[in-house]
Amino acid sequence: MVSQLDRSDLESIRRRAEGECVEATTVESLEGMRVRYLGRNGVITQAFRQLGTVPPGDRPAMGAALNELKAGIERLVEARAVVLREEAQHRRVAAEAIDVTLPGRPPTLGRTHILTRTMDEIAQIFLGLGFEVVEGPEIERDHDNFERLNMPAYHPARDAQDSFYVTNEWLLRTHTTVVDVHVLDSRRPPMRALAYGHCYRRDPADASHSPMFHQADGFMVDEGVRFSDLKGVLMAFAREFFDPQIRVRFAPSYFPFTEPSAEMAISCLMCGGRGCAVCKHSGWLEILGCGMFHPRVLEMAHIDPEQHTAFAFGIGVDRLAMLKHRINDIRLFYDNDVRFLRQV
Amino acid sequence: MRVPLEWLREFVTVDVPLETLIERLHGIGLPVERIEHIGDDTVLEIELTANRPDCMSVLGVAREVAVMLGHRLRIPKPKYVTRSPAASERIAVEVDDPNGCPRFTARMIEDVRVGPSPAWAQRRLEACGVRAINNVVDITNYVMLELGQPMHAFDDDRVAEHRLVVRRAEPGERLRTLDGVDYTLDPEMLVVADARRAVSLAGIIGGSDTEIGPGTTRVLLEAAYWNPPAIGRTARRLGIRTEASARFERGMDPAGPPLAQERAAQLFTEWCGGRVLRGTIDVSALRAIRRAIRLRPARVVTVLGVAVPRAQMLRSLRALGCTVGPGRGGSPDGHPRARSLEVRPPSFRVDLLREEDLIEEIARVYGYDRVPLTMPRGETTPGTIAPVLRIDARVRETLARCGLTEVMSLTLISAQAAAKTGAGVVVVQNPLVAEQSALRPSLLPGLVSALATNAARRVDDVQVFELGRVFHPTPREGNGGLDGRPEERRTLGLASMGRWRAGWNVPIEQGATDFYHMKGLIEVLLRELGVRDWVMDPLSEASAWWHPGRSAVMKYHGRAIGQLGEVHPDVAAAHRLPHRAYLAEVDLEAVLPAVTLIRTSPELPRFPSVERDVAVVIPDGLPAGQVEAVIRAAAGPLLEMVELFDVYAGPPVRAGYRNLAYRLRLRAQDRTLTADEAEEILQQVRIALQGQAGVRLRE
Repeated sequence: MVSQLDRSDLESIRRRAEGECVEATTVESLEGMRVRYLGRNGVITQAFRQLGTVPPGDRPAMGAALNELKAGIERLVEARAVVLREEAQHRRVAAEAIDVTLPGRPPTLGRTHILTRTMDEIAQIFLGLGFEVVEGPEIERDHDNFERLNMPAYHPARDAQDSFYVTNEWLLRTHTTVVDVHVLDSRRPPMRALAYGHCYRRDPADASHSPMFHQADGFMVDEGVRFSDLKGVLMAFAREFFDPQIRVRFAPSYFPFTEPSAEMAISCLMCGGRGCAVCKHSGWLEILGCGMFHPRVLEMAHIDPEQHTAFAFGIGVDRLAMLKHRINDIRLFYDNDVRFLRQV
Repeated sequence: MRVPLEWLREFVTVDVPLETLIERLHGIGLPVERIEHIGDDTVLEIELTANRPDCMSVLGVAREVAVMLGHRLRIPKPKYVTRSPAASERIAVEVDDPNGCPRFTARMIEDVRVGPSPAWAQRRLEACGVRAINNVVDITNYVMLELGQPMHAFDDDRVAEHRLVVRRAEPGERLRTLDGVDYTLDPEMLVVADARRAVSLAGIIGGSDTEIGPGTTRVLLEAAYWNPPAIGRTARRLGIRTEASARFERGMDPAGPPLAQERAAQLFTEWCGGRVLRGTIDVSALRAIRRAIRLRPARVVTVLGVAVPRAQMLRSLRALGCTVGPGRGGSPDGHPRARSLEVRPPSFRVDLLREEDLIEEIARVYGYDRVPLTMPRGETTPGTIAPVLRIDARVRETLARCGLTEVMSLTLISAQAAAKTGAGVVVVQNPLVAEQSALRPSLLPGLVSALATNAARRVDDVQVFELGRVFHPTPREGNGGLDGRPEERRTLGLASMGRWRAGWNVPIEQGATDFYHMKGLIEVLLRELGVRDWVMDPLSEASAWWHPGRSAVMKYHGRAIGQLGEVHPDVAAAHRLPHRAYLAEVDLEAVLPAVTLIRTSPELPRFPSVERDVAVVIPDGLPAGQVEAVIRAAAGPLLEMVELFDVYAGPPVRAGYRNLAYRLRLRAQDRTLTADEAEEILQQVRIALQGQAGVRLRE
């Protein structure tokens, strides 16, 4: 006996389906529920089969109601499935949680030497000012290193540049100014050149001396090069290298190869000029020597000092790096402790 | 130079605060290094440059202060009484070497009572850093500090025949100096001698034989002008430096001795009760002409870049003691401002020789800080960087990108370490210390030291490189070898120890450096530099540096350009290296010509590739490089890449053999390769491999 399908049956199917759908807490149980209602032998399918028991006049309406019920359950199941899948995904991802407070695995960051970077920075600034960046040998003739720079044998200024000799004639250059001599010999004015690299003096190593150190030397030869140009160019350099706000001061000094000679100081980087231990309470830090090339130096290079004038400067690279990076011992540069080299 | 303020005020009025004084002194080139307060007095320690011997005295500094503050300088005018007979009746002076000693003055003081100097004078000496000894010696020092002129006092009773002779030393002549040191002299050196022997090293230090003692009563007082290079040479040769030599070698005032003698005479009467004999013996070969320098005011303006008024130039030069008059020549029709000047510097300014020297004086007094800041007016020039410096930069950048840290070692190393490299060594003739007595012939000693230094500080993981020059006594190739210039070669060194990849749970075998890590660095670097056609062969010659089984030689066009490998266990042990360490050294100079820094775009493939694997079992003695070469040759032009992806030894592979697995990527540029084409190429590879002795294919 088959009882007649009526509207109340449909309503009770809908209520049961809703209940079971909500009760399904896993994708699998939801699938079981779907099969029970919508599967080949599911409740809905069976209800369609019972459509024949409905009086013919009511059949179209009942059929439509049944279709609507089926579609409603399908939507219900699909909506529930979305929720359950989201929950499952969420559980899975939650199970993959890691301890984000464990340390990272950093790549090894290589680094060039701080003096390399300092020299490069100096070179780039002068490159921008139209200088030719060149290099020269570390072993030089005594004649080029001294005589050509107006320092004959037994000149008192040689005292400050006690040198290492490898033969009677050849020595380890005491300044990169000697590279200027080679450039003067090989080119004609106008010229602007900068050279940098190792220099050597017989100074026992201490916190501010090293038998090997670094200099960057530059010069400019042209008609009408003035002392005021030297000041302007070096000011431009100091502001670019240190700080656009920095102040500079020039005072008379002495180098046999320049006349007039000057020393440039910058306002102290630590105290801004108020005075501190680093600047010995003067407010100033001397950073380089400079001047107008001595006419003798030009004459020896067969350049007429009446026609051309020149300025030149020599920068202590180590000192600049020490000031900028607050390094208090020059020996750290050559000690090769990677903890230092990786830090600065 | 130490200058007591109270002494300075004797010669010039100082009416500015101390702070201003110091700042102004700095501005004219006499920077005050230190200020010391001694009792009521203030002592300024002024740092003098080598060109200003005229400031090595209180009076000299006072002269600068006078110029700077616009005050008058009060030059001392000594007053004293002289007695008969004339000094020339008691003593005689001969100068045999007028070139070395252009001027020698001597004076005689009798009835001297040697004793302590007045306390105030002792205080002044000590404030200047000079020890008070007795009144006679103190007078010489006092006059030197006050006026600059060094003096020397002889005990005349110990001077043989009361006769002084200025001459060159005899070969091997000996002299014991005041400080008790015996020197052997040579004929390059000047001495003051008596009739028999040298009694003083001229201009440097006196001899002990004629030293002033408690019993001295007759003093022979010397004030001379010595040739500066002659004094400098002797002082350096003997390694002596005294207050006197420091002054004479820089150049004293040739006109200075008479005033010094007078000042000393006054002090002898005041401090020692001495009787000053009439007259000064003055043997002088100096001509009284003061050189004239032409100064063009227009040139001053041109060089400085600031329009210093002509009147101000005149004022400054005259204040400094120059005589200034109208110059000859110049431009007669020109404006008066254009006319040149004739400037005669004072005799004590030995540094003023040329127009530029006067320009500096004018600038100094004008104030460097008042010169404006300008930019050069000439044509703008393009900046350039020497190509080799660009290559340096690329090398450094590449290795830093690979995670290496750049080190910089002293190029001076110990002679033993240098000798161990097996190369010829450039030796320093005058090293400071034995550890720095040779120029490095190789970067390896420095790099091993770098590893050892870090290891000793418990830093075990070290990956570093150094780019620098190594030195050889004679050029290896022909060019320029004749002048004896030692050769400098641009060289690159790498060193690696411990782990190059760090982090928790990174297995040691993945993080630890090894031969192949080092080799990979070299491969990457040379590829980055565009250097091809280099090969690596096992190192055949024995070397103390390298592990015999784990080292290789790099060759470029048949020529060795470097070595690479594991540090020999003995070397590692000697340096207490905690792990196996690897080094490489490349003669960059040799590959420089092949370097290309500009990289060109690759043609990206438009057709798919086919990848196939081939595995072989080979005996241990067969180098893998050979297997790869066979694969490359057999596969032909369609082989895009061959990659070794596995090396395996152990069961089931027979002992003494290893399994190598390669992945081949084949691609044609103009079409998609078919499976048949790929199989054909692979077949050729297999056949070629099987043709190799000992090689067995694995399916």
